[in-house]
Amino acid sequence: MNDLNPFEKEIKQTYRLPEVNPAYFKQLEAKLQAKQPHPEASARPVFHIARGWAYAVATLLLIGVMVIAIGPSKVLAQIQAVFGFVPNVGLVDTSSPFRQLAQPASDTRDGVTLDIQSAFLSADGTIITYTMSDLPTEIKHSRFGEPECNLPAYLTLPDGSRIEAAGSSSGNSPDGSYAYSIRFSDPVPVNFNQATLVFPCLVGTVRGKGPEDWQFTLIFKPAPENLAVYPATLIPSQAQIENPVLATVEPATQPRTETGIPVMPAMIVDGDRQEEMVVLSVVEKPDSYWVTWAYPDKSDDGIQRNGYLYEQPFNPVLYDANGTQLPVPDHETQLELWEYEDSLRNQLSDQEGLLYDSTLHTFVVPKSGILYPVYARQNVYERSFPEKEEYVDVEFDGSKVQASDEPVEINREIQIGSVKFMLNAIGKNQFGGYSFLFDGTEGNVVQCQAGLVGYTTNMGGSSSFNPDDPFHFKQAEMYSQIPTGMLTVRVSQPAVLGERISFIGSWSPEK
Amino acid sequence: MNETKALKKESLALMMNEAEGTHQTTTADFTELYRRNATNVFYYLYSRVRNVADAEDLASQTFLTALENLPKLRDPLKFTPWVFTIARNKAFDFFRKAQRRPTVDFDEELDQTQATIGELSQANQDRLRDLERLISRLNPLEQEYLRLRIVADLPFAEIASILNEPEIRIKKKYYRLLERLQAQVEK
Repeated sequence: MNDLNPFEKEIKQTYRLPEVNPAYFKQLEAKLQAKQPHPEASARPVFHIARGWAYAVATLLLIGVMVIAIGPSKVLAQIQAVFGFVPNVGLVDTSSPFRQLAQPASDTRDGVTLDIQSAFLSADGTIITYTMSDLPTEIKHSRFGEPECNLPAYLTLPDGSRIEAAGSSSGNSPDGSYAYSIRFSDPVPVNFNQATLVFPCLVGTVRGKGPEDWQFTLIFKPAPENLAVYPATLIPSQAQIENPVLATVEPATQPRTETGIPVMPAMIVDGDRQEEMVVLSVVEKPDSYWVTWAYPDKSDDGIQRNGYLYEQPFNPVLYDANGTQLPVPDHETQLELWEYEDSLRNQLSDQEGLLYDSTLHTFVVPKSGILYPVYARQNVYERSFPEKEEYVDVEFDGSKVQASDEPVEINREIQIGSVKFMLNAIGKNQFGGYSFLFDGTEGNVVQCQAGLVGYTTNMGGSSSFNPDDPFHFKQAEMYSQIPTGMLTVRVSQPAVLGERISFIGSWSPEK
Repeated sequence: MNETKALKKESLALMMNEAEGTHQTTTADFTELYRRNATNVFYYLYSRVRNVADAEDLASQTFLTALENLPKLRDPLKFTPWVFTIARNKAFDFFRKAQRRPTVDFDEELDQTQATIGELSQANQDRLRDLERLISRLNPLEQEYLRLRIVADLPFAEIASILNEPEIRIKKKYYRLLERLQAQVEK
C-alpha cells in the first residue's frame, strides 16, 4: 500500500471512491472459480515466447536489417533533425518555418469570454494558448457529482480533416495570467493558413450547460524572424559511443597541460573507477548553455526483485576545468529544465530512450566566468548478481515469530556460492506475513530474494537503499493466511554492491 | 530503523512464489491474485467511469479476460501490471463503443457526495472542488498517473510497467505534477 502524503490523500478524496460491495466481489470470485480450468490446462508450454518478446525480437531484427542495408551512418542520419528550443514551447523541429496566430481571436457567449491568445505551429505540432473569463455560477461545475465537461478541443482544416488534441495543460503564463494550452502533435500542413478551433464545451462547466461547439476561426502567419529560438543540437549517442572522448583522459591535478589543453582536475573523479557519460543535447541560450548528459542504464531481467545494475543515491554535479563546483539552478530554472527534458525525451529514438530516458540530466553551463571544459559527474554504485540460481533454505518457528512483538533472532550465516551474508532476524509484519532482516556487511549484499517454501505469497516488498547503512536490509513476504509452525525460508539472488562508478562527461562550446 | 518505519519504506510489489522452480500460475494462485487486486482494479475503473454499475461490469470483464488469457502470461510476477493493462483497455473500449466520455452518474453519486463533503468545512470543500477541477484539466496521461498511484495504489515500478515508461521518469513526472497541482490549488 502506498504511503500517501496529506496532499495525495486530498487528491484521493476528489475521486469519491464508494464503499465496495462485498457481495459483488464474492459473486465474481465464484464466477471466476467456476470458469477456471484444471491446473494442467493452464500450464505453459516449455518454450513459450510471449508476444511482447516476439515484437522485441522482430524490432531488433528490423534494426539489424536496416543497419546492414543502409549502413550505420545513414541510420544515424535518419534520426537527426534540426531542432530549436522555444521558451514556453519546448524543443521543436525547425525544418520548416514556424507560424503563429495572425491576430488573437476573442468571443463572448453565455457570459463567458474566451481569448485565443497565441498559436505556435511547427513541423512537429501546434500549441494553442487561451484564457477564459470567470465562469458564471449557473454553468460552473462546483458540486461533486455533477457531470463536468471534459471533451477536448480540436482543430478542423479547410479540407474537412480534423486534428485531435494530444494533451492540454493550464497554469500561470509568463505575464502572470492564468492560461490554458492545448497541444496537437499532428502538424497543420503548410498549405493551410487557416483552421477552426472547436470547443465541444468548456472546461470547468457542467456538461450540457454553457457554450457548446464554440468555434474560432484562426488565421496563421509566419512567425517573426526575431522570435527567440535557441539553437539546439541533438547529438546521436551512437556516434559518441563509437568515439569515446574520455577513454584516454587521466585525472590530473593541474588545470592545464603543457599544450594548454585543460584536463580533468583530480578531485572530480572520486569513484573507484570512471566511465563515460555522453552529451545528448545542447541548447545555446544568451548567457548559458543547457547541456544534457546521460549514462546508459542497465538492468538484469532475470532478477525477481529490483534488477537494476546501478544504484544512484548521489546527485549529479558539474565542475569547471579549475575544479570549481558550479551552483545548482534556482527553482524556476529547474522547472524550465524539467520541461525541456520532457520535450527532449519525446525526440529521443526508441533505442536512445531505453538507454538514457531515466538517467539524463541537464546542467546550466554559464558562458562566462568559468574555465572550459566543464565536467559533469554522476556517481553511482554498481550492483551485480553473481549467484542467480543457487539458494539456501533456513528453518524457523513461524508461530514463535507471530507471537512475538519483536523480531526473533536467527543469526544464521547464509552462503550462496561465493556470497556470504547473515539472516539476523525474522519478524511479523503488519500486512500479514514475515519480514526477514539481513546484514550483508560481510559480502556487501544489499538485497536478496526471500520466500517461504511451499506457500504462495503474492505480495512482497523490500526496504529501500539507505546510503548511510546500505548493508542492513529487509525483505518482506505477505500471505492471505499467515503460515505458522515450522517453516522454511528460501534465500536467493543476492545483490552485491560493487564499486562506486563516476560517470563523467566533458563538454566545451568548441566541441 | 524501527519496524514501522522500515515497513513503510517497503515497496509493495506484487509477487508470486516460484512453485518448484517454475513460474506456472495455478488456479489457486489466480484466486489469490484476484483477491489481492480486485478492489484496486474496481476503484481504478470507478475513477474512470464514475459509476458503480459500470465499474463492476468492467472489473468482471477484466478478470474474466485475465483468466482466459492466463496461459499467455509468461511472467506471473507481472500479474498486477498485466491485469491493470487489461482494465485500462476495457475502460478505453467502454468509452469508444458508446462514444462516451468519463462522466458521473449524477443521481447515484449525489447522496454520497453530499455526505462526504458535508463533513468538511466550507474552505476545505472549495479547495477540494478546485482540486477536482484542476485534475480534470490535466492531460490524459497525467490523470492516469494519479489514478494508478493514488486510486489503484500501485508502486511506481508497476505503473512504469503498465505505461511502458522508465520508473524514474514516472516518479519525476508524478512528483512534479503534485508540486504543480499543489501550487495551483494554493494560489
